[in-house]
Amino acid sequence: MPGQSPFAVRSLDGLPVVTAPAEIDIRNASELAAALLAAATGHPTVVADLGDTEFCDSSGLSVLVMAMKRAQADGGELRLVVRAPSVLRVFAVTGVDKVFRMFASLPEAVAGTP
Amino acid sequence: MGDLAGNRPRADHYAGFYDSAAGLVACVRQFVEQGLDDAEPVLIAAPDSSTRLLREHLDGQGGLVSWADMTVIGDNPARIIPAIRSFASSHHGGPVRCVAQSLWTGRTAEQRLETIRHEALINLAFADIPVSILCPYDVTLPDAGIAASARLTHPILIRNGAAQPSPAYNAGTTFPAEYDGALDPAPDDAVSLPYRDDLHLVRAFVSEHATGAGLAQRRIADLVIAISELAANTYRHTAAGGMVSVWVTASELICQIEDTGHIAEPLVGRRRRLPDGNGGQGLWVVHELCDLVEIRTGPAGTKVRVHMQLGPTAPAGGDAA
Repeated sequence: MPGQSPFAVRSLDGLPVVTAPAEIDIRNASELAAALLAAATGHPTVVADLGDTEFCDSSGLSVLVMAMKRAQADGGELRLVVRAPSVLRVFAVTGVDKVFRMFASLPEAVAGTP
Repeated sequence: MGDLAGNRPRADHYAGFYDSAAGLVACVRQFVEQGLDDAEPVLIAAPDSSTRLLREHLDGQGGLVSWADMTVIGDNPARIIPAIRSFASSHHGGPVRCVAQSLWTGRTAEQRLETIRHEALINLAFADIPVSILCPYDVTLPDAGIAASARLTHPILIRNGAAQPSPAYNAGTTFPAEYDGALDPAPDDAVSLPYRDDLHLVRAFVSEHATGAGLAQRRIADLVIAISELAANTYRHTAAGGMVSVWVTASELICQIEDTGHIAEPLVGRRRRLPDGNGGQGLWVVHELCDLVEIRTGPAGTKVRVHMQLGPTAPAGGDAA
């Protein structure tokens, strides 16, 4: 969408939703971290929407793991929308698929029920 | 890296030499019996030919040990140390014993060399957990160099049931010099791309050439992930950028990343940790996704060369287990 930051934060049913860009790597992982941090202010539970993300490297994973730990420390959780096989593959080989709460669509993530 | 190697506690790491089927069974039986006597969980990871023989002749012991097909879990030898660690973790951190036969007829020359280097790394890899590892070596195999390598990479040798220190083993080095030479240069027909911070371009370059070489779609995705991790390491650790090169052999697609960085930790990528922002995940991902990984690093720079098998018999890559 023209003019929209790839790290747009919006609110759905009272939950902050961070929309991740098409590709996450070491070049933009810190921007994703900043967006997740901003979204978490006053909201223990955050949704990271990687629904349109086709690529995510291990620096992106680190950012997501840190956001998850922060959310858990605040009594909330990080909910992830993930669809791309390549992203799911990285999640699987690093084992983060066992610790993340993952959903196939944004409505499911917002509702918290897969 | 000798200083790193010298200060770490070591696994009990034995090479067991045998020249007959009965010799293999006797060597493994002695090791397994000792483990069962001490109530230590035992894992036997070997190629099918050895496993069939051992299952048949270990009698009652066979049901008390765990079995794994080494040609699956250790096709890329960099995945063997994590597999042993995983076995130890599943038994509360040990002590455990493992029979690990990681060299077999049919390994390519590059696989053989990386397996020998893996054998050297076993001596550093278990500083924090008590593990005993027996590596059976068939001295009748035509590659006489394989048994010779075992003398350099194993602190203790077992022959005919008797254990003795290996005089050729040097605890002060990470890799024996014989197995730490530079990689051959890339062939003239390799295609290359210099890069610095445009990792998207690196991914597109690798994807295009892997597609042209006929690599399966899912493996292209794996390769792109792996190479992007390596190029990200260049970006993170060097100012000068790097060079990515791709070429094809009779059976493999080869992709190489070359930069001015230096990987100081020889075990990098052989221990699974949750990504925590401190890095070190990239090479784990590379080892999981690629069929073979060659790393040569020093103060002058680093080359990482990954192999992807072409064709219908190519392995599916590492899984998440």
